[in-house]
Amino acid sequence: MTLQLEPRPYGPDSTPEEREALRARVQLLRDDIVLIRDVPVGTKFSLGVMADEIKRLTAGRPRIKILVDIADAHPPDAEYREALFSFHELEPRLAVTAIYIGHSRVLLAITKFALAIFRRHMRADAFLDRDEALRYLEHAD
Amino acid sequence: MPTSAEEIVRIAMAHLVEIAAGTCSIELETLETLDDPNLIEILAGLYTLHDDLVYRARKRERAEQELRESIAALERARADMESLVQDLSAVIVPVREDVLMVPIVGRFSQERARLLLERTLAAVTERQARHVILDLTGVSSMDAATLEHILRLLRCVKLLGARGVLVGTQPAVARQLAEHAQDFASERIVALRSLQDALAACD
Repeated sequence: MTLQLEPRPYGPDSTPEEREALRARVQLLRDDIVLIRDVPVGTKFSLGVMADEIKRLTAGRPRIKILVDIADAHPPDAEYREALFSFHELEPRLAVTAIYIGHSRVLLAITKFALAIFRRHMRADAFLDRDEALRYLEHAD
Repeated sequence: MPTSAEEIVRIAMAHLVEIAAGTCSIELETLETLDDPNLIEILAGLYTLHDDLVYRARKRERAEQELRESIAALERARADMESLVQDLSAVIVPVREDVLMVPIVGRFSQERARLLLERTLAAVTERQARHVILDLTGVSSMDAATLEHILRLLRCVKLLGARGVLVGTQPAVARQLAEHAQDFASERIVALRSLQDALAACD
Protein backbone atom coordinates (compact mmCIF):
# COMPACT_ATOMS: atom_id res chain seq x y z
CA MET A 1 0.00 0.00 0.00
CA THR A 2 1.34 3.45 -0.91
CA LEU A 3 2.21 5.81 1.90
CA GLN A 4 -0.11 8.77 2.45
CA LEU A 5 1.98 11.96 2.13
CA GLU A 6 1.62 14.61 4.80
CA PRO A 7 0.96 18.33 4.11
CA ARG A 8 4.62 19.30 4.51
CA PRO A 9 7.55 19.91 2.18
CA TYR A 10 9.48 16.81 1.09
CA GLY A 11 13.18 17.14 0.39
CA PRO A 12 16.25 15.00 -0.33
CA ASP A 13 15.99 13.46 3.16
CA SER A 14 12.77 11.69 2.12
CA THR A 15 12.56 7.97 2.82
CA PRO A 16 12.29 5.38 0.01
CA GLU A 17 8.60 4.97 0.91
CA GLU A 18 8.00 8.71 0.61
CA ARG A 19 9.79 8.79 -2.75
CA GLU A 20 7.64 5.89 -3.92
CA ALA A 21 4.54 7.79 -2.77
CA LEU A 22 5.70 10.80 -4.81
CA ARG A 23 6.25 8.62 -7.89
CA ALA A 24 2.81 7.04 -7.40
CA ARG A 25 1.26 10.48 -7.91
CA VAL A 26 2.27 10.32 -11.58
CA GLN A 27 0.09 8.18 -13.85
CA LEU A 28 -0.26 7.62 -17.56
CA LEU A 29 -3.92 8.47 -18.25
CA ARG A 30 -3.97 7.97 -22.01
CA ASP A 31 -1.33 7.25 -24.60
CA ASP A 32 0.23 10.70 -24.39
CA ILE A 33 -1.52 12.26 -21.37
CA VAL A 34 0.16 12.13 -17.98
CA LEU A 35 -1.65 12.95 -14.76
CA ILE A 36 0.25 14.54 -11.90
CA ARG A 37 -1.58 14.77 -8.59
CA ASP A 38 0.52 17.47 -7.02
CA VAL A 39 1.54 17.13 -3.38
CA PRO A 40 0.02 19.45 -0.77
CA VAL A 41 3.31 21.36 -0.42
CA GLY A 42 5.31 21.20 -3.63
CA THR A 43 9.11 21.50 -3.60
CA LYS A 44 11.89 21.35 -6.18
CA PHE A 45 12.70 17.91 -4.83
CA SER A 46 9.17 16.52 -5.10
CA LEU A 47 8.88 17.94 -8.61
CA GLY A 48 12.22 16.36 -9.55
CA VAL A 49 11.06 12.91 -8.38
CA MET A 50 7.80 13.26 -10.29
CA ALA A 51 9.59 14.60 -13.39
CA ASP A 52 11.82 11.50 -13.43
CA GLU A 53 8.71 9.34 -13.20
CA ILE A 54 7.14 11.23 -16.12
CA LYS A 55 10.27 10.53 -18.17
CA ARG A 56 10.14 6.85 -17.22
CA LEU A 57 6.44 6.46 -18.05
CA THR A 58 6.64 8.33 -21.35
CA ALA A 59 9.98 7.03 -22.62
CA GLY A 60 9.86 6.71 -26.39
CA ARG A 61 6.89 9.03 -26.85
CA PRO A 62 7.69 11.99 -29.11
CA ARG A 63 5.31 14.40 -27.34
CA ILE A 64 3.38 14.44 -24.11
CA LYS A 65 0.52 16.38 -22.53
CA ILE A 66 0.20 16.87 -18.80
CA LEU A 67 -2.79 17.27 -16.54
CA VAL A 68 -1.73 18.74 -13.21
CA ASP A 69 -4.21 18.25 -10.41
CA ILE A 70 -3.51 20.86 -7.74
CA ALA A 71 -6.92 20.67 -6.08
CA ASP A 72 -5.40 19.45 -2.80
CA ALA A 73 -2.24 21.55 -3.06
CA HIS A 74 -1.36 24.72 -1.21
CA PRO A 75 -0.77 27.77 -3.43
CA PRO A 76 2.72 27.27 -4.89
CA ASP A 77 5.43 29.58 -3.55
CA ALA A 78 7.79 31.51 -5.82
CA GLU A 79 10.52 28.87 -5.72
CA TYR A 80 8.09 26.11 -6.69
CA ARG A 81 6.59 28.22 -9.46
CA GLU A 82 10.10 28.75 -10.83
CA ALA A 83 10.80 25.00 -10.62
CA LEU A 84 7.57 24.25 -12.50
CA PHE A 85 8.57 26.67 -15.22
CA SER A 86 12.04 25.10 -15.42
CA PHE A 87 10.43 21.71 -15.90
CA HIS A 88 8.56 23.06 -18.90
CA GLU A 89 11.81 24.41 -20.30
CA LEU A 90 13.69 21.15 -19.71
CA GLU A 91 11.04 18.86 -21.22
CA PRO A 92 10.91 19.71 -24.93
CA ARG A 93 8.34 16.96 -25.61
CA LEU A 94 5.77 18.74 -23.46
CA ALA A 95 3.16 20.06 -25.88
CA VAL A 96 0.49 21.39 -23.56
CA THR A 97 -0.45 21.53 -19.88
CA ALA A 98 -3.86 21.72 -18.23
CA ILE A 99 -4.10 22.62 -14.57
CA TYR A 100 -7.08 21.41 -12.61
CA ILE A 101 -7.65 23.78 -9.71
CA GLY A 102 -10.69 22.45 -7.87
CA HIS A 103 -12.82 24.79 -5.82
CA SER A 104 -10.31 27.37 -4.51
CA ARG A 105 -10.84 30.75 -6.16
CA VAL A 106 -7.59 32.00 -4.64
CA LEU A 107 -5.64 29.10 -6.14
CA LEU A 108 -7.34 29.81 -9.46
CA ALA A 109 -6.37 33.48 -9.28
CA ILE A 110 -2.74 32.72 -8.38
CA THR A 111 -2.49 30.07 -11.10
CA LYS A 112 -3.97 32.42 -13.67
CA PHE A 113 -1.46 35.10 -12.68
CA ALA A 114 1.48 32.68 -12.89
CA LEU A 115 0.25 31.34 -16.23
CA ALA A 116 -0.13 34.87 -17.56
CA ILE A 117 3.59 35.32 -16.87
CA PHE A 118 4.60 31.92 -18.28
CA ARG A 119 2.18 31.89 -21.21
CA ARG A 120 4.71 33.59 -23.42
CA HIS A 121 6.86 30.47 -23.11
CA MET A 122 4.39 27.61 -22.67
CA ARG A 123 0.97 26.45 -23.73
CA ALA A 124 -1.15 25.97 -20.64
CA ASP A 125 -4.49 26.81 -19.07
CA ALA A 126 -6.25 26.49 -15.72
CA PHE A 127 -9.64 24.83 -15.13
CA LEU A 128 -12.07 24.52 -12.26
CA ASP A 129 -13.43 21.31 -13.73
CA ARG A 130 -11.25 18.20 -14.18
CA ASP A 131 -13.17 16.82 -17.18
CA GLU A 132 -12.97 20.17 -18.90
CA ALA A 133 -9.18 20.16 -18.34
CA LEU A 134 -8.97 16.70 -19.84
CA ARG A 135 -11.02 17.71 -22.87
CA TYR A 136 -8.70 20.67 -23.39
CA LEU A 137 -5.75 18.29 -23.55
CA GLU A 138 -7.51 15.81 -25.82
CA HIS A 139 -8.33 18.51 -28.34
CA ALA A 140 -4.96 20.21 -28.21
CA ASP A 141 -2.79 19.49 -31.25
CA MET B 1 -22.02 41.89 -3.07
CA PRO B 2 -19.58 42.92 -5.80
CA THR B 3 -17.06 45.57 -4.85
CA SER B 4 -17.23 48.71 -6.95
CA ALA B 5 -14.53 49.32 -9.55
CA GLU B 6 -13.43 52.45 -7.69
CA GLU B 7 -13.08 50.52 -4.45
CA ILE B 8 -11.08 47.74 -6.16
CA VAL B 9 -8.74 50.36 -7.66
CA ARG B 10 -8.35 52.05 -4.26
CA ILE B 11 -7.55 48.73 -2.51
CA ALA B 12 -5.17 47.65 -5.30
CA MET B 13 -3.35 51.00 -5.23
CA ALA B 14 -2.89 50.78 -1.46
CA HIS B 15 -1.34 47.33 -1.80
CA LEU B 16 0.84 48.43 -4.73
CA VAL B 17 2.24 51.20 -2.54
CA GLU B 18 3.00 48.60 0.14
CA ILE B 19 4.65 46.26 -2.37
CA ALA B 20 6.75 49.12 -3.73
CA ALA B 21 7.99 49.63 -0.17
CA GLY B 22 8.86 45.91 0.12
CA THR B 23 5.95 44.67 2.22
CA CYS B 24 2.58 43.08 1.60
CA SER B 25 -0.29 42.70 4.04
CA ILE B 26 -2.42 40.46 1.81
CA GLU B 27 -3.11 37.08 3.44
CA LEU B 28 -4.26 34.11 1.37
CA GLU B 29 -6.54 32.88 4.16
CA THR B 30 -8.34 36.24 4.16
CA LEU B 31 -8.75 36.16 0.38
CA GLU B 32 -10.72 32.90 0.66
CA THR B 33 -13.33 34.75 2.70
CA LEU B 34 -13.94 37.51 0.13
CA ASP B 35 -17.02 37.46 -2.07
CA ASP B 36 -15.97 39.41 -5.14
CA PRO B 37 -14.05 37.21 -7.62
CA ASN B 38 -12.53 40.28 -9.31
CA LEU B 39 -11.15 41.53 -6.01
CA ILE B 40 -9.82 38.04 -5.20
CA GLU B 41 -8.12 37.89 -8.60
CA ILE B 42 -6.51 41.32 -8.22
CA LEU B 43 -5.32 40.68 -4.67
CA ALA B 44 -4.08 37.17 -5.40
CA GLY B 45 -2.13 38.59 -8.34
CA LEU B 46 -0.59 41.29 -6.14
CA TYR B 47 0.25 38.70 -3.48
CA THR B 48 1.98 36.53 -6.10
CA LEU B 49 3.82 39.53 -7.53
CA HIS B 50 5.16 40.43 -4.08
CA ASP B 51 6.10 36.80 -3.41
CA ASP B 52 8.04 36.71 -6.69
CA LEU B 53 9.80 40.02 -5.99
CA VAL B 54 10.85 38.88 -2.50
CA TYR B 55 12.07 35.54 -3.87
CA ARG B 56 14.09 37.21 -6.63
CA ALA B 57 15.60 39.70 -4.18
CA ARG B 58 16.67 36.87 -1.84
CA LYS B 59 18.06 34.89 -4.75
CA ARG B 60 20.02 37.94 -5.90
CA GLU B 61 21.34 38.50 -2.37
CA ARG B 62 22.47 34.87 -2.18
CA ALA B 63 24.15 35.14 -5.58
CA GLU B 64 25.90 38.35 -4.53
CA GLN B 65 27.07 36.73 -1.30
CA GLU B 66 28.41 33.73 -3.24
CA LEU B 67 30.13 36.11 -5.65
CA ARG B 68 31.73 38.00 -2.75
CA GLU B 69 32.93 34.70 -1.27
CA SER B 70 34.32 33.59 -4.64
CA ILE B 71 36.17 36.88 -5.04
CA ALA B 72 37.61 36.56 -1.52
CA ALA B 73 38.72 32.99 -2.26
CA LEU B 74 40.32 34.14 -5.53
CA GLU B 75 42.09 36.96 -3.68
CA ARG B 76 43.45 34.48 -1.15
CA ALA B 77 44.58 32.12 -3.92
CA ARG B 78 46.24 35.03 -5.75
CA ALA B 79 48.07 36.09 -2.57
CA ASP B 80 49.23 32.49 -2.01
CA MET B 81 50.34 32.28 -5.63
CA GLU B 82 52.20 35.57 -5.38
CA SER B 83 53.92 34.39 -2.25
CA LEU B 84 54.89 31.14 -3.99
CA VAL B 85 56.15 32.99 -7.07
CA GLN B 86 58.13 35.31 -4.82
CA ASP B 87 59.69 32.34 -3.04
CA LEU B 88 60.53 30.63 -6.31
CA SER B 89 61.83 33.80 -7.95
CA ALA B 90 64.51 34.34 -5.33
CA VAL B 91 66.01 30.91 -4.68
CA ILE B 92 69.51 30.59 -3.22
CA VAL B 93 71.08 27.14 -3.62
CA PRO B 94 74.09 26.24 -1.47
CA VAL B 95 76.05 24.02 -3.89
CA ARG B 96 79.10 23.65 -1.68
CA GLU B 97 80.10 24.75 1.76
CA ASP B 98 81.39 28.13 0.58
CA VAL B 99 79.63 28.38 -2.77
CA LEU B 100 76.11 29.67 -3.39
CA MET B 101 74.25 29.46 -6.67
CA VAL B 102 71.54 31.97 -7.58
CA PRO B 103 69.47 30.95 -10.61
CA ILE B 104 68.04 34.00 -12.39
CA VAL B 105 64.87 33.40 -14.42
CA GLY B 106 62.80 35.98 -16.28
CA ARG B 107 62.60 39.72 -15.72
CA PHE B 108 63.26 41.57 -12.48
CA SER B 109 60.74 43.79 -10.81
CA GLN B 110 61.92 46.20 -8.12
CA GLU B 111 60.38 43.95 -5.49
CA ARG B 112 61.96 40.79 -6.84
CA ALA B 113 65.37 42.48 -7.11
CA ARG B 114 65.10 43.71 -3.53
CA LEU B 115 64.13 40.25 -2.30
CA LEU B 116 66.92 38.52 -4.22
CA LEU B 117 69.52 41.00 -2.97
CA GLU B 118 68.31 40.66 0.61
CA ARG B 119 68.30 36.86 0.55
CA THR B 120 71.62 36.52 -1.27
CA LEU B 121 73.45 38.84 1.09
CA ALA B 122 71.91 37.14 4.12
CA ALA B 123 72.98 33.73 2.77
CA VAL B 124 76.53 34.95 2.02
CA THR B 125 76.88 36.21 5.60
CA GLU B 126 75.22 33.23 7.22
CA ARG B 127 77.15 30.57 5.27
CA GLN B 128 80.42 32.53 5.07
CA ALA B 129 80.27 32.00 1.31
CA ARG B 130 83.29 32.99 -0.76
CA HIS B 131 81.71 32.50 -4.17
CA VAL B 132 78.29 33.43 -5.56
CA ILE B 133 77.44 31.92 -8.93
CA LEU B 134 74.70 33.80 -10.81
CA ASP B 135 73.18 31.35 -13.28
CA LEU B 136 71.73 33.32 -16.24
CA THR B 137 70.67 30.23 -18.22
CA GLY B 138 67.03 31.19 -17.80
CA VAL B 139 67.48 34.77 -19.04
CA SER B 140 67.02 35.17 -22.80
CA SER B 141 67.33 38.97 -22.81
CA MET B 142 67.99 41.64 -20.25
CA ASP B 143 66.64 45.17 -19.94
CA ALA B 144 68.58 48.04 -18.42
CA ALA B 145 66.86 47.77 -15.06
CA THR B 146 67.61 44.06 -14.72
CA LEU B 147 71.21 44.65 -15.71
CA GLU B 148 71.48 47.34 -13.06
CA HIS B 149 70.01 45.01 -10.43
CA ILE B 150 72.54 42.31 -11.26
CA LEU B 151 75.43 44.75 -11.14
CA ARG B 152 74.24 46.01 -7.80
CA LEU B 153 73.95 42.46 -6.46
CA LEU B 154 77.49 41.67 -7.60
CA ARG B 155 78.82 44.88 -6.01
CA CYS B 156 77.21 44.03 -2.69
CA VAL B 157 78.51 40.44 -2.84
CA LYS B 158 82.00 41.84 -3.40
CA LEU B 159 81.65 44.21 -0.45
CA LEU B 160 80.91 41.19 1.74
CA GLY B 161 84.20 39.65 0.62
CA ALA B 162 82.78 37.09 -1.79
CA ARG B 163 83.30 36.76 -5.52
CA GLY B 164 80.55 36.89 -8.14
CA VAL B 165 80.65 34.48 -11.08
CA LEU B 166 78.29 34.62 -14.07
CA VAL B 167 77.40 31.42 -15.91
CA GLY B 168 74.98 30.34 -18.60
CA THR B 169 74.99 33.69 -20.42
CA GLN B 170 72.84 33.60 -23.57
CA PRO B 171 74.13 35.31 -26.77
CA ALA B 172 71.64 38.19 -26.60
CA VAL B 173 72.44 38.79 -22.96
CA ALA B 174 76.17 38.67 -23.73
CA ARG B 175 75.70 41.51 -26.24
CA GLN B 176 73.80 43.57 -23.68
CA LEU B 177 76.42 42.89 -21.02
CA ALA B 178 79.20 43.90 -23.43
CA GLU B 179 77.73 47.40 -23.62
CA HIS B 180 78.49 47.69 -19.91
CA ALA B 181 81.97 46.18 -20.17
CA GLN B 182 83.42 49.01 -18.14
CA ASP B 183 81.14 48.29 -15.22
CA PHE B 184 81.94 44.61 -15.33
CA ALA B 185 85.63 45.26 -15.57
CA SER B 186 85.54 47.52 -12.55
CA GLU B 187 83.73 44.83 -10.56
CA ARG B 188 86.20 42.22 -11.77
CA ILE B 189 83.37 39.90 -12.60
CA VAL B 190 84.22 36.46 -13.92
CA ALA B 191 82.02 34.97 -16.63
CA LEU B 192 82.19 31.24 -17.33
CA ARG B 193 80.40 28.87 -19.66
CA SER B 194 78.77 26.45 -17.26
CA LEU B 195 78.13 25.62 -13.66
CA GLN B 196 80.76 22.89 -13.82
CA ASP B 197 83.34 25.45 -15.01
CA ALA B 198 82.26 27.83 -12.27
CA LEU B 199 82.57 25.17 -9.57
CA ALA B 200 86.01 24.24 -10.87
CA ALA B 201 86.99 27.93 -10.72
CA CYS B 202 85.79 28.16 -7.15
CA ASP B 203 88.25 25.52 -5.93
